[in-house]
Amino acid sequence: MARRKPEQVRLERLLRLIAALIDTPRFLSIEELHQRVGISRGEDSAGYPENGSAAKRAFHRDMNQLAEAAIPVISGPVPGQERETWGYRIRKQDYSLPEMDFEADELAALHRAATAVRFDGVSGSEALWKLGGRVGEGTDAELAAVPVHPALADLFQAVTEQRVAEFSYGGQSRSVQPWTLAFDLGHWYMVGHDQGRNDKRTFRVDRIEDSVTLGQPGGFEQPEGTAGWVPLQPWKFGPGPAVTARLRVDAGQAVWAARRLGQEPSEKDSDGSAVFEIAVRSPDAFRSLVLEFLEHAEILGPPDLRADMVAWLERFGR
Amino acid sequence: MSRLSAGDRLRRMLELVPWIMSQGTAELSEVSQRFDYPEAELREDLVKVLFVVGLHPFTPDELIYVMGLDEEDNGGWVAISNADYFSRPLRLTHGQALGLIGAGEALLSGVDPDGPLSRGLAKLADGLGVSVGEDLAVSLGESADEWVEPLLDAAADHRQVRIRYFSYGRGQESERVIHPYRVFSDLGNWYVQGHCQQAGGLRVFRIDRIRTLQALETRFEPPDEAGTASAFEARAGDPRVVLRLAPGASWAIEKYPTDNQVVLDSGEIDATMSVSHISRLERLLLQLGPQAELRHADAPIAADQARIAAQRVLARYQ
Repeated sequence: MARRKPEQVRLERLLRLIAALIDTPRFLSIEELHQRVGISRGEDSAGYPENGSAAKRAFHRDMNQLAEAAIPVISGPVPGQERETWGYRIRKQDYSLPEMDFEADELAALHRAATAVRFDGVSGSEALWKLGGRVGEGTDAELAAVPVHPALADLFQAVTEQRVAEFSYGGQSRSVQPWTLAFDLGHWYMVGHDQGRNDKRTFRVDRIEDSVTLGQPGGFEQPEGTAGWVPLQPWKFGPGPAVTARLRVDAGQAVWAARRLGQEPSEKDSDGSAVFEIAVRSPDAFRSLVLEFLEHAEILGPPDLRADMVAWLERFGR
Repeated sequence: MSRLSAGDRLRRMLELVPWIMSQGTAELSEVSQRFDYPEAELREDLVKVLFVVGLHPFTPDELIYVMGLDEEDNGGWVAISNADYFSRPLRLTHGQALGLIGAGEALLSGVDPDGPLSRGLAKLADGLGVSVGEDLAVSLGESADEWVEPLLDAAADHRQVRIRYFSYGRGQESERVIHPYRVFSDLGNWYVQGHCQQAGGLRVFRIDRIRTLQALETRFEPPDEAGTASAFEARAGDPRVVLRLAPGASWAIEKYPTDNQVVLDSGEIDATMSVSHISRLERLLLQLGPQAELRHADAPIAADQARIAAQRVLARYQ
């Protein structure tokens, strides 16, 4: 056999190591793993060096390589040893992707999606290989890049496995039962039950101040009807009772306004302008909303919201 | 492709072996394509590496069987057996699952519910125990359902489109013929970038402000380089302003690229930014009120632009 490249020899050793780690029902010590992977008999021969400390270094390099590939190696005590000895193994249930039989057109569609919407720092290719390979062409033109924060993958795990998440936010430590993760208006949000405040809260993921600590799986039960994401309409949220504001929007902006407000107008005038009836709990957020339209919208009532707007605008000077 | 490292080879090998096993036999060229493994390297690694991987004591019955290939042969198919420990692909990491489901979810609105993306995403989410839309919601923009797909098609076919567009800056609707170069989402809104025949230059349009759209038979010559996609790309000659923001108001400029930001001892921020549309600046100034102050403005922006805008809005209330 022709001589192999060093990376091929290394590949063989890594594959042997993984096979040995998966094949065992118990933790194997480093010495046992050395023996099961074998001793290298020269440059073209895979295995660990005979020298004990060189073998140990090589083993730790391999373990790092496995961690980089996200291979779930766990460690624990080797049974039947007089002196406590630490060993390693891979549990098949941790390692294996659940059965999902994808059709070629489904893989191609996921491939297109993964190339069209790029999550920063996540390798779409690697995920697709796991599902059965990259099929089809993907798309050359990326549609969107979604920012990814260090806490995001942990929070996603917390949401899907119902784990309580602890983190620091706004200078305070929080303990939250995460219900939903949402990307909206360019930011990631996490909605959940804040255990300390005993209330539902929405958090900006990029404002989480450090890493997230996760509790046990199944650590809480999500109440019925709390799932999902309500698009951000901050004027709907506030301490007070809702008042119904009437907003007139010029013809040119009426269609856009309906989209922005997530509702249809209650009246349409012959000139094409539209009147919307909007439930407002936060007057400040409502004022910001109305100012998005500049001079193309007018608060018709109630009188105090109208007066607030006039007073706000008069502060800029006459 | 640059030379594959041992880690690159490992990550591919762990996923392509289970795929080949699930297929019975597979064409080498297809394996190469699906797993981004150059065919010559793949052939070598299967014959010279995988074929000698196995379990201790590496007697022939403990080795992986690789059939259909040998070193000299040009055989085009491969089959693998005696590798139970590599019979399943690796599970996805939480980040990979998030990226793939998120990308699919982002594009889901407006696609055929029985189509390949919907089916593929359902299988993936089901297999991983994720509720799409409940655990994870990804919105790239409100208008994804309507004009994004026709614009993508037109961009791919290099076909001109006629649009009725509501210009926020001018406050009016106009008809334009554009050459859509690129469709993208940025900070929660969808945009199309392309040549506008009426403007005689490159423009960016917000897709949710397109009222009607008609794809034309006429083709356009695609540009050499579509350029980077940023909605607020400054053009040479745009006036600049320096905006002083109160501490805590920095969120206001998150979606506007700034040329320069200086944090003062007081905690205030002086942000230098190019203004492509005066209305955008006016909106920001009116919304921020006392939290923002215009420290410098190039013509035609006035030093008291906020007052001017406020007067125009106030006129509606008199």
